[in-house]
Amino acid sequence: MSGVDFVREVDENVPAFRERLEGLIQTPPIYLLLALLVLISAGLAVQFSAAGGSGQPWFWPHAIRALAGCALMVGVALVDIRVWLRFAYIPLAITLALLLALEFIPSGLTVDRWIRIGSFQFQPSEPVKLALVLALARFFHDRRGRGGFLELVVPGIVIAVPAFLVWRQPDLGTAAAIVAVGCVTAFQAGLSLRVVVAGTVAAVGALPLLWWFVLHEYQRVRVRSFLDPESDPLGAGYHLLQSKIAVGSGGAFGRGFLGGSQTQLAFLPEHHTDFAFTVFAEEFGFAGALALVAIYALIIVWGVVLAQFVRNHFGRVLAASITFIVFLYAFINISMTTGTLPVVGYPLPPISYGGTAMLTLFACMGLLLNVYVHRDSVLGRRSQTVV
Amino acid sequence: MKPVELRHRHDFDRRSLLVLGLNGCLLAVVAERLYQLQILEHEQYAARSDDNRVKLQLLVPPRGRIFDRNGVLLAGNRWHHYLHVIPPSEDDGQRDMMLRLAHILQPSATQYSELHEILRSAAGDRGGAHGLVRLDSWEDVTKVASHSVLLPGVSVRRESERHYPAGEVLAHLLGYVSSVTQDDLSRNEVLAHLSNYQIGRVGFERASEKILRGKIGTLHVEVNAHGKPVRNLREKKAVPGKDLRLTIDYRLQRYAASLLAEETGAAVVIDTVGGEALACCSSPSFDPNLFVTGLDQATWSSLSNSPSTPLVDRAVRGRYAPGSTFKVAVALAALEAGHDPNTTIFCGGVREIGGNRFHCWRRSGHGRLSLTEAIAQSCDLHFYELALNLGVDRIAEMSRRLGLGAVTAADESVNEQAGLVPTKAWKKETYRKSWYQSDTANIGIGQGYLLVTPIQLALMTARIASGRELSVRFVQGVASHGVDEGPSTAAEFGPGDSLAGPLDIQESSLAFVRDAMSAVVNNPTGTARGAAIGRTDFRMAGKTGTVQVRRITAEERKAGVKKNEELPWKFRDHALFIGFAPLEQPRYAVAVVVEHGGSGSRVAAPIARDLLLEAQRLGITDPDREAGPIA
Repeated sequence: MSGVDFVREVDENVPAFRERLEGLIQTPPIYLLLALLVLISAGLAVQFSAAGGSGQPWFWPHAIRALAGCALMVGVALVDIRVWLRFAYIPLAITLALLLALEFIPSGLTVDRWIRIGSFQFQPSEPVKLALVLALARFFHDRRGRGGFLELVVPGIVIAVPAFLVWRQPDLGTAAAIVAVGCVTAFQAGLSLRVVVAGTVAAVGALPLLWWFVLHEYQRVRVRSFLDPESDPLGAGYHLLQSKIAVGSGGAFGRGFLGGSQTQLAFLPEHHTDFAFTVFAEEFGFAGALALVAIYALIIVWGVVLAQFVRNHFGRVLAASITFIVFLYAFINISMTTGTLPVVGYPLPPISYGGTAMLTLFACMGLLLNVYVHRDSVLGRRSQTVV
Repeated sequence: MKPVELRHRHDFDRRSLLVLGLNGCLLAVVAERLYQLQILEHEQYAARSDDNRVKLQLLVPPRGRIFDRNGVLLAGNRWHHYLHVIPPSEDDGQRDMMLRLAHILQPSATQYSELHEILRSAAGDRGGAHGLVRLDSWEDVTKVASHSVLLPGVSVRRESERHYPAGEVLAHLLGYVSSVTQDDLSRNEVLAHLSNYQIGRVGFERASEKILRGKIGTLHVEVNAHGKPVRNLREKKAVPGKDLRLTIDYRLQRYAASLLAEETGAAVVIDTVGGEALACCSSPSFDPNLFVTGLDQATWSSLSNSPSTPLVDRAVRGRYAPGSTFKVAVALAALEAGHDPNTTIFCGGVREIGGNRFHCWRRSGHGRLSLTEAIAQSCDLHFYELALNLGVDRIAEMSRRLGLGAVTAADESVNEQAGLVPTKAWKKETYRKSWYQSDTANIGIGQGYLLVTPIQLALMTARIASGRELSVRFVQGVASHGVDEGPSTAAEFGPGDSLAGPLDIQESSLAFVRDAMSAVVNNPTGTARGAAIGRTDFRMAGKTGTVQVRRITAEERKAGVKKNEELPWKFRDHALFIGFAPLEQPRYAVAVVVEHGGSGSRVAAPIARDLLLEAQRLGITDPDREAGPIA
């Protein structure tokens, strides 16, 4: 392909490095699957420990969801990427409809951020991130190089609407994550530099407005307690303080599986959901926690490197942006539990208990594998015929 | 490929790698943070984790019990179940907890207000002092236990509370305990962490606090976030308080209390061999159990403001003029000074001393009386004469030898008043006045400045009866004892003290006075002949006393002295009696004071007689432990 030749010419100074990277991608994604397996095992260990060493109530449901997630991942990977390209706007339409349903359907079927059908609960604010990436990837795949007014307005609306609906739930953490995912996707997909600079300036300028007009009082309290958690150890800062105590008391090698007193004696709140990482860090120490971070980093690097070698814009944008979703899970959740970000209630799949986030993650991994499988396919714009 | 396509691809590569780099930096920050928390600040957080999970519990030992000489329980511990509540920190949680408790327990009005107080006061105070609410029925206990899932932070505890089975009968001597006050906390802040701790306030409970309270133990408990104990880490056992065994015989004490029930006064019975107090009763009394659970303001003020002062222990703190009972001491002083007891002194009913007219209680006078007759008929003029001849200081010296003017107990187990034995030097120092003849004459009949307590009178009598320099003993022994089940046996208490040495008084003088005291009761002319004991082996000896509490004016004497029954209660005479029995081999000495009772012979003597009879009937003291012949 001439495209590859062209890149080689441009990056003449580092051809050997690039070849090595390509080699990493050429091998079957066994490392990716191994990394995923380790994460699932860590999640199962945490769910077992959080229940005080019992399979109920979290370990077995978690295991079943992990299995379902793997099946979903394989399914998503096997569907031809052209199908995903063709129907790329459908998931966003569905998730937006569900978010709107949460807004307008009175309680009964819905609880806060959940849609409830029988015993089944579904949280549309999780898959909306992936749906957004799909839609933006398709949009920029079709419009690459055209520039103009639409390139600013359409992504703006597509990002703002779900973010607003999620903020209304209210779930500030996920809303912020949706904005971040959307912006990073648009940025990587080829948003013109002028728009990027203007948008950044506008965002910084809007921060004070955000603080006074967008944040709820309880959210401001959380931010304040994040800035000074010791000031109110039994109030809003209690969760964070207990989490930091748990992580810190884990030390270098942890207090041993089922040996974390913060977890086992229930000082740590939400220990099987938002603070699942804390449980892991308390019981497996710095060694375990760092290993977990490293595995997430491995997945992220793999995804971005893969993106460099994909021959279609849709797949490139998908791989890089899906990787960013995974990064956000790890970064927000771990920062939140260790006190570098406010406590915003952001899960860490597949460690945290919670089906929607877990399935979203596996769908992400499935798409990543899909892009890997079709890395050499050349896709035309949907408005044109395929080359 | 069109160049524009390639340009975009190049853009993408640069931008995605930029994002990757940024993400890498952020993950590095995360890792650095983990390093900071888990490696650099590990020790700090490990300590805080232990602070969370390990709670120090102070173990309060059961308080030592108090028994009478026969092992009858006088002060013990009753176990109750208490609701122990750790209030939730948030307002909503407190309201919710209150609703649940109210629904499950259906508490009484007082329980409800106690619960409310606990939930309100301890808000936001994790690990601080927790409140207790007493559960009165077993049904309540099971209700809480079976709903424990719905009541996080609520548990049932078994704790002890002081209980006085003897109630009013022995209130003064035992005293009582009550809950920790702000004042106690300012002296010892550890007390704030003890739930339901009680401190001795009065009587033995206070005096023997150190013996009774034992040593507080510690227990390190691992607790969960709700404060529920998970397991014990290490324990230093509490040392239970030691039991006290008193010399008091509960049967005799109860009998004394019943005899005095309608009166205001005191009765003391002591054993003349070892000086052991067998009964020590003050009337009116109060129920010490009221103080344990906390007294309400109305009850407290009615007790402390009552004109009959039920809270005062008259037996050891009531100071009275001994009146004619003191004549035995004057007689002893005279005999020791070489007075011939057969010398007769004329009583014409009145004589003048230092410009004042001094009367005998019998207006017509007794005529010529020897010392024995003077004691038996309690002739006042006879003792004015003796006292004037002796001088006050020799009387005071004899009084001290007999145990007056000083606390009677060898130890400080009872909070006694020392009374007052006046001397010339004392008056000079206190009033800056000279001692007059009339002062001496008044001392001669046990009036004037002289003040004694009932227990001092009993000790004086016991010393005369035994000829030994006895001290009063209230405690037979102290025993290490564990748990609160059943009375302990006598063997666990230490042996009694050895016999006291002889008094510094000639036996012939003592024998003379004892005979004269026998005449008081057993002679047809004796003032207490009405109280004589018929059974020859139980016969008693004694001395009456009737103490004026008002001054009789010259006009009244002309018009005829009013009888006690004609006077308002508070102007009536105090009735006193001292005595011992049996006559031949004295075992028991008694002193009775009835405030405003009227005549000593009519009111006090029968009470004394009944007590001595009952003591002998019961055979309280060990018959093998004889005083032996007095040299």
